[in-house]
Amino acid sequence: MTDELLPGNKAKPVVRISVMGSVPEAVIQCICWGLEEEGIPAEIQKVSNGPTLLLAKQAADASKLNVGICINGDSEKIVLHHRDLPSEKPLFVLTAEDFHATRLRILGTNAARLVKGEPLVFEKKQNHHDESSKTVSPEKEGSEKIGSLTQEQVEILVTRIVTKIMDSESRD
Amino acid sequence: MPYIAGVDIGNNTTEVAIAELRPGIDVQFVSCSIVRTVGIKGTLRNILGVIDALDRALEPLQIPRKDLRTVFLNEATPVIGDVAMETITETVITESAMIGHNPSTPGGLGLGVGATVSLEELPRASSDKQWIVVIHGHIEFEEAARQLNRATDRHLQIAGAIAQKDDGVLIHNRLNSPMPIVDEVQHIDRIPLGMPAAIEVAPVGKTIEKLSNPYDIATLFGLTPDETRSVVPIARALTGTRSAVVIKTPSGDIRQRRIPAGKITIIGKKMKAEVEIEDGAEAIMEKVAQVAPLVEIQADAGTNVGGMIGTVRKVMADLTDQPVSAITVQDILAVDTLVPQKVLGSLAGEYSLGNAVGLAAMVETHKMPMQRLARKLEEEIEVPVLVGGVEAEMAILGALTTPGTSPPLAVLDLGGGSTDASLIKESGEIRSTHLAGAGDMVTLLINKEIGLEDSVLAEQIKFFPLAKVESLFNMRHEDGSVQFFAEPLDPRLFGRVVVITDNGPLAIDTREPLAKIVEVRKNAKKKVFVKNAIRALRQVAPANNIRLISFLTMVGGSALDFEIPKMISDALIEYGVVTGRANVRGKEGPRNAVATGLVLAQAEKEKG
Repeated sequence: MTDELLPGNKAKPVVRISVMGSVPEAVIQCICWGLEEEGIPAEIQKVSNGPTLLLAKQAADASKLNVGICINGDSEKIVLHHRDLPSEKPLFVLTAEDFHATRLRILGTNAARLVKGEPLVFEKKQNHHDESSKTVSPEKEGSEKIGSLTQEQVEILVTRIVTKIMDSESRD
Repeated sequence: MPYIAGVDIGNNTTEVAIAELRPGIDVQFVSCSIVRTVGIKGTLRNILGVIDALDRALEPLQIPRKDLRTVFLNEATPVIGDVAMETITETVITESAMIGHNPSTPGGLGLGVGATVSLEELPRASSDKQWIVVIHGHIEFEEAARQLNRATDRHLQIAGAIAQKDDGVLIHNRLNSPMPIVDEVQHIDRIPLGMPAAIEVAPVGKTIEKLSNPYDIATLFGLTPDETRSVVPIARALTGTRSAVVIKTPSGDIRQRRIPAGKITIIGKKMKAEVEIEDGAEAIMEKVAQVAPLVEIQADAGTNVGGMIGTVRKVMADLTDQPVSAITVQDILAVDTLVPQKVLGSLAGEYSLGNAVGLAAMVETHKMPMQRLARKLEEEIEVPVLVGGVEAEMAILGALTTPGTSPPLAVLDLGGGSTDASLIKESGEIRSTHLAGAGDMVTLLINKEIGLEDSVLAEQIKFFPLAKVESLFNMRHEDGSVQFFAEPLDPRLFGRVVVITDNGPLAIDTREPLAKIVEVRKNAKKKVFVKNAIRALRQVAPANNIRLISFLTMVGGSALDFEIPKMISDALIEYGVVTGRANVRGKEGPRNAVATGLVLAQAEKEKG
């Protein structure tokens, strides 16, 4: 898989987008639209398994424009990387909750602006109630997670709280 | 106890000099400090800053505060300045509309003329005329492109499109026949439909050519000479943009309106003059010079200037426990400036540059609030506090400790609120003057001219040089040098113009290029400090002739600025004045002059 990512094999100046696992078409499209509006070409390619950070970095290294994106459908993660950055320090990382049309398009816009050297776009803090921010990828239900806690952590917490309550009751 | 302290409370900073004073031995300076002034100069709140500054200066000496023999305060001439901005012109669009802005990525290229029609109405539009299609934000770009293609397929002539969202390129890429598309038009619902309109998009790196020329607009819409006159403001506002739309409505016109800005009355010792603010800064300053020496300046109530001068008077009255009527305006500095103003009636939040006059005013009272301050400070620190000499004289004494100086010597005190000048003759006679307008005025001008609406940031832009972040790892400073970083820079700084503050780079949220901001900064400094330096020196110079001054030192906070001293030196070269920053006691630079002078004055008194 790395062969086709090596620089020089494909000489076109593009932002490389590596797609891993099953990714909804809409997700890829939103990112591409962001790039297109800014006038920067992108090339999409399927890659097999690997760590998302590394794949994004490889895409950036292979890009003549020094910018690469990896969309990981399995872990629902998108990483925007630049050739000059160390692999473990990508520029932007989007996770499942960021999969809104607006945010995905901004990621594409920023990939393009990074190439052009123009100021990046950051989403305004206020909530957008327009329909463009609807979630694109609702198919995959997050694994047994509550907020950012794992099932295990939740169990430990619940046990602790229950013990506390029982303790205080027994003292009464 | 041999230690005495000189304390200089300035508009922005409070400075302390501590010296050992023993009979028979020359005065020995042992420590000094500088802190930010707490509260308005002359008010009791200053005491907090004074105590802080004293403690800081005493700390390295390991002397308790009460071991000081005496503390001397400067007898400040209570002058406070305030600054205001008065707009003279305003571009107002009535009954007609224009869009002229720089969306980062418009679609297509060229010029198109046609009648405005909404995308929804397109299927019912006739094919015998040209159309300009208005695309609302709720329509996805793919749908918009599909509709436009369907329309051109049935031979509808579409000259261009106006879109609300940032998707001009996306729409354009999906069209069968190219057309100019202006996007990011916020108030698209304000576009009148069924009206003749012209649209223009320039290639990357260029600006529109047709819609910024009144005769081209006249050609496109078939205007009469009178109508052409009325589109001049439109053409002017559209100059320099990458894309534009002009919509003609039946009786529409855009006007540049002159706002009645009010007038001021300048009263001098011998004569009196009235001048309209809208005559501009030059006219005002000419009158001020004619009427000088000034006694009082009055302004019409209910105008911006009137309000500003009223506020300054009120603050000073409260400060000194005097009636407002006892406070007089001693000086004003007027500066012409161009400020970006929202064009009233515009559709995409356009700005156009409007003429404005910036004013700094200074009020004076003859009752000193310093005695009250001294009594209160004495209670607090349990050390005798005396009000020492006059500020201007103390500044001269301090400045004279600069190696290489001797009387006759002029001192320019470049502060935050006022620009002061004083001159000591060989005989020891001292003349001094205080003029309105200094660092705070520069900050105001920067803030307004770049349209920042953030005076803290404007202050930073005044103090520090700029740079452009060119990549994740490097920035190019305004002097052209490039700096690389080992760690990646914050992505929020990427591609932006930043101020290099002491706490690292700070992004400026503006689309103005670096060169423009540098120009605004330099011009603001010139307009205020160079102008005031010459005004002030002329007032104190022998026979009002600056050529008769041979040595000039600059002191005060703004003398520490990275470019103001050079600007003043450059301006004074033609008068043959040796100009430079003071170096108080051979080591403090332009700081601590007044505090040092207070100590020296006392030492002189005890010797004599």
